[in-house]
Amino acid sequence: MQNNFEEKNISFLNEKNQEINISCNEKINLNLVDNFDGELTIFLQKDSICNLRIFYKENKNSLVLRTFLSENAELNVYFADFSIGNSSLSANSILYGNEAKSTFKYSSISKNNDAKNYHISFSHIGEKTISNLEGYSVNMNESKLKVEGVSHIEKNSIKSKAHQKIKGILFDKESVAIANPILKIDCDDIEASHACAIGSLNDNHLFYLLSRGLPLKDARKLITFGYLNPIVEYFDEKDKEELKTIIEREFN
Amino acid sequence: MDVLEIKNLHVSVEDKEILKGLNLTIKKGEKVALLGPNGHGKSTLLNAIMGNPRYKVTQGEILLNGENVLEMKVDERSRKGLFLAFQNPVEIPGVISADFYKSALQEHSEKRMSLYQFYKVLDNASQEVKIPFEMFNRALNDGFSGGEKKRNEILQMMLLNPKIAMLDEIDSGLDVDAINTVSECINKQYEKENTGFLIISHYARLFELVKPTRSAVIINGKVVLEGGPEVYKRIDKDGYERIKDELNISIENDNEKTMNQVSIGVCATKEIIKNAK
Ligand SMILES: Nc1ncnc2c1ncn2[C@@H]1O[C@H](COP(=O)(O)OP(=O)(O)OP(=O)(O)O)[C@@H](O)[C@H]1O
Ligand SMILES: [Mg+2]
Repeated sequence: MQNNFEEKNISFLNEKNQEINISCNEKINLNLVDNFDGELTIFLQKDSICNLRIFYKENKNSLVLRTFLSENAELNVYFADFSIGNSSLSANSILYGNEAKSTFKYSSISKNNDAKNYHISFSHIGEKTISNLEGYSVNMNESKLKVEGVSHIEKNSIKSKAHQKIKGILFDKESVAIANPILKIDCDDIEASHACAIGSLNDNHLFYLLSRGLPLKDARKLITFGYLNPIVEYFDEKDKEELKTIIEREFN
Repeated sequence: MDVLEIKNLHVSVEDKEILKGLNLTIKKGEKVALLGPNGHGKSTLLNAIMGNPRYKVTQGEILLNGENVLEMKVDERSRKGLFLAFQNPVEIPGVISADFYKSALQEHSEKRMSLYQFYKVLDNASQEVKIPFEMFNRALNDGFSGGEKKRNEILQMMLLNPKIAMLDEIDSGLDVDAINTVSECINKQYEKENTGFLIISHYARLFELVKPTRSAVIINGKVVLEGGPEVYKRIDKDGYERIKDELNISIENDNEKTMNQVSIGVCATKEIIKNAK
């Protein structure tokens, strides 16, 4: 990804709870892949940057993520949930320092009666803090997804911004995706928005691709790939390939 | 010789009948200018021919070289040689144009195409439509201007090399230079492949540049008038009122007036298609 970033892999093999402290001005990429059921707490000191990539692949995963952002700290979470089976994630970001910035992006595939649950929340305490939630999901074969996004801008958090965008495609009538974006605003001088769109594959998009000669299966695959693809760019080469392979596999 | 025949076509959108017994034939080597007032069914016709599921064909026939188009799936219609340049091309997030074009082109060719061959073809076409090659590494039409989207439709037409190309207001939103570029592409395609064209436009400018061999006018969901290039010229000059009066047609409004049974006016130089019934 960016230059001058320290790379670190996190594992939950030995202990259930982990704490990471990122010191002032430090830049770090953290990678978390599979096999976890635990809590991760990250403290971001002044002016630090952390990119956290979370990749749910094979097994049932469950993560509780707590992050604390000091002044001008920046946290970017990239969450790819392509796992088989049920999974959950709860992430809370506390932006207590002024101008702290927290972004959470996810892409998710659910299938075969999977039930997935995400709860992503941001607490804006400092002034001029920014939070962004952006997510894309695909549900197939009677699977269920529940996403709750909560952005809370507290009383003194002036000039803060909170945005949420949740999108989802349902491939069959039996699948369910519930998105619940919540904005709690206790301060006047702020900017906030949420957009939520869950539905079946866009008919116009589909017709366009078909009209150029693509068979239905390929057209669906291309649209879905395009939909989930944005998350892929945040991962390193090895994971990128794997993410692509998984998306391919779903359609063959 | 390639021929697309539309016979007594009735099409409904959301239970409202839009096309009411439309007849039209387009042959290879013909460029047909398709005109008509707003909302009278021009785009509906093109969408029905291409197989848009929103447009329900309730009666009539569409034949391509004698084969029943209505029984073909959308992608099959494309592979058989029909092409529609959309009035409003969609943006598809995340779908990389080059990837999509490669798949589409592959579907249209028997032999396996190498990546090198493909990029060569795409590079050529992108120069013709004057869109920088790099733009095709972006998502389809994503962030394209209105004019770029239209040129992108023409690019796809050139890549897929259809038998019959249907262009729905390809000139709307184009600046003068872009109209010239687009018509040059149409003319080249025509000269090279003798492609049949069905071209919808509200403006004579495009027609002056591509020189249609025929004109057809849709009013109230039917082709009410066919003729040579003089027809589009006349409409450009006089509008639809005169034609309507001559043919004794009242243009229907949304309030469900029953249409006057169209009586055929005298119009010596023009062939007038007989209405069904
Ligand atoms: N997808 C749709 N849903 C609902 N109504 C539609 C749809 N498409 C077309 N119509 C209606 O069908 C009628 C004919 O529309 P059509 O788009 O074919 O007109 P047109 O001749 O192409 O007009 P224009 O010159 O404005 O493009 C209009 O009344 C229009 O509102
Ligand atoms: Mg139209």
